[in-house]
Amino acid sequence: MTTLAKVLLGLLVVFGLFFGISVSSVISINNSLVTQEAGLTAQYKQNQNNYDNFIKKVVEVAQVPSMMRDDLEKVTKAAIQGRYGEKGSQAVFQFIKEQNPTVSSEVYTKIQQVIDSGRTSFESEQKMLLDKKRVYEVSLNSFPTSFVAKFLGFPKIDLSNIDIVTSDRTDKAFEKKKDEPIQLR
Amino acid sequence: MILLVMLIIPTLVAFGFMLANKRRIAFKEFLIQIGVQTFLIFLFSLFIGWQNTHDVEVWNGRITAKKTFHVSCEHSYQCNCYTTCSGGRNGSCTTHCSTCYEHWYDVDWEAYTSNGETIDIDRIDRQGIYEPPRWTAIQIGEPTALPHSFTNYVKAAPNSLFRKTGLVEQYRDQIPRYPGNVYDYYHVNRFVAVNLKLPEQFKREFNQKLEDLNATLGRAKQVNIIVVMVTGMPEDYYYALEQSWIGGKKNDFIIVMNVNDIYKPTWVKAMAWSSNKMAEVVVADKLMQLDVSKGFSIDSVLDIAKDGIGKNFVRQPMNDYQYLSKEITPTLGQWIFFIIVGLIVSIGLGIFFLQNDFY
Repeated sequence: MTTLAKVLLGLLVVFGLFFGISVSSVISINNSLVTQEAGLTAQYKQNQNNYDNFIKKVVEVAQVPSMMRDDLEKVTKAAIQGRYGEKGSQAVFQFIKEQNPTVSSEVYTKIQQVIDSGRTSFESEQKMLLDKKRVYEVSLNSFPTSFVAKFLGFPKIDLSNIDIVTSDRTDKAFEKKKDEPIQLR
Repeated sequence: MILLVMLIIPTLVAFGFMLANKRRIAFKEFLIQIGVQTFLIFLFSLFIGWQNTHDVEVWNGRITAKKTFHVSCEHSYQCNCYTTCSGGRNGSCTTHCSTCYEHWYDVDWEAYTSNGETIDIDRIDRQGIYEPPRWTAIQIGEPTALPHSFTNYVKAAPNSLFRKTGLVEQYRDQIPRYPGNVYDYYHVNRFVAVNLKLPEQFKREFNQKLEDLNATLGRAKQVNIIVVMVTGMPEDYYYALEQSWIGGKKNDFIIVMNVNDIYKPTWVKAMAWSSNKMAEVVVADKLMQLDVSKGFSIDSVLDIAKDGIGKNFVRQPMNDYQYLSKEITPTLGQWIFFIIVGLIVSIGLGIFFLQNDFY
């Protein structure tokens, strides 16, 4: 075999190898981004489900008259969003006590535990949503995946819709870079 | 993509060798070089995935049975050797031997757990004829704690929001080592005291009772309970511990309890990879109300844990964190190591093909 033929064949093998790996990388990137988008959407729906279940559970445990349930839901939503701060469950107790002054201390304890665990669990789910979004955004923007992602038309979902639940109070505090003292009611 | 980057340098080296020594390195030998490097990189990527996510958790159970039985002898030696020579005065001689065994059979001494694990007790004589006292001491129903490997995606993702940062340095001297060491075949101490001078008897009793509780709840709830008792620490200490232990193993339920001088808890927090945080809240709440007026009671602490975990704990599968597998990339050390190994192999193969002509 002549030297020229050797060089040409060598180059052909090297390019062939790199081409093969590149094609499989593009397929793998596409599949990975599709899986991540599906995971993000599923996590977003899971967070909604978790949020809904949590509020229902508080209302169920609280034993307030059925006509007061909507109001209790509002107070509970505010508590889970951290609108009343760390001791948000106290606002819920206060509301329940107003509606049902004879409610037992066991019920109070139970409500407090449901709220605390629900908040922590919801916080964990929100953290997972943000983490999945972070991993996806890193994939989208890191070299050389970013070129492939752009070429394949990713992101195919509106990422601004995939966000966590916060309260008006939090939004305002971050906007103004100032917070106000916590008031329970 | 990592494969591509890893393949560039060895390919260039192999190509350079072929061009510089065109008469002595055949094209087929160049292809062999590329093939070997590709296979090596494939092994490297498997190794990276394994090393960065590999972790060990403790499974709890009880001894269900113990047995002894005969097995083939493991002690072989060469015997009946003889030498044959050929080729006259300048020829070579070869020694031929048979494989013989010291015993007709060996004896194994084993115990089994409710998790389907096998515990192999060491023989006290070479063949295993005499019953080992440790095997004799094994009681059916005794608690067991044995290590098992699992894939920890969170460990492999230092940038994940589930990884805390910035607190360990502050408490470096007060962060204990993770209690996962197995001693005496199937025991693990999971009571950890920090800044506390406790009698050895107290620690032993706590560990024994905790091991029994773990055996009771272990299989049913897939849990491994650890109790960390500290004094004089702010709540930040809990987060430092969480950072250092990366949130614990996937089946851990870690109770961190700060106590005052009469062992009354001043703050309690629980750490677990659970989908339902109720167990953590209930256990922490009840421990905060622990009555120590008649002295600190280990049984009271463990009863609270048993009730709270037994009724509320739901372990979260590690698969929920599989999305973090996208973040498994070689560390700087791994990059350097693999590039050096790749270079050594490609240069070594180049020199080898220079000295030996195969095609």
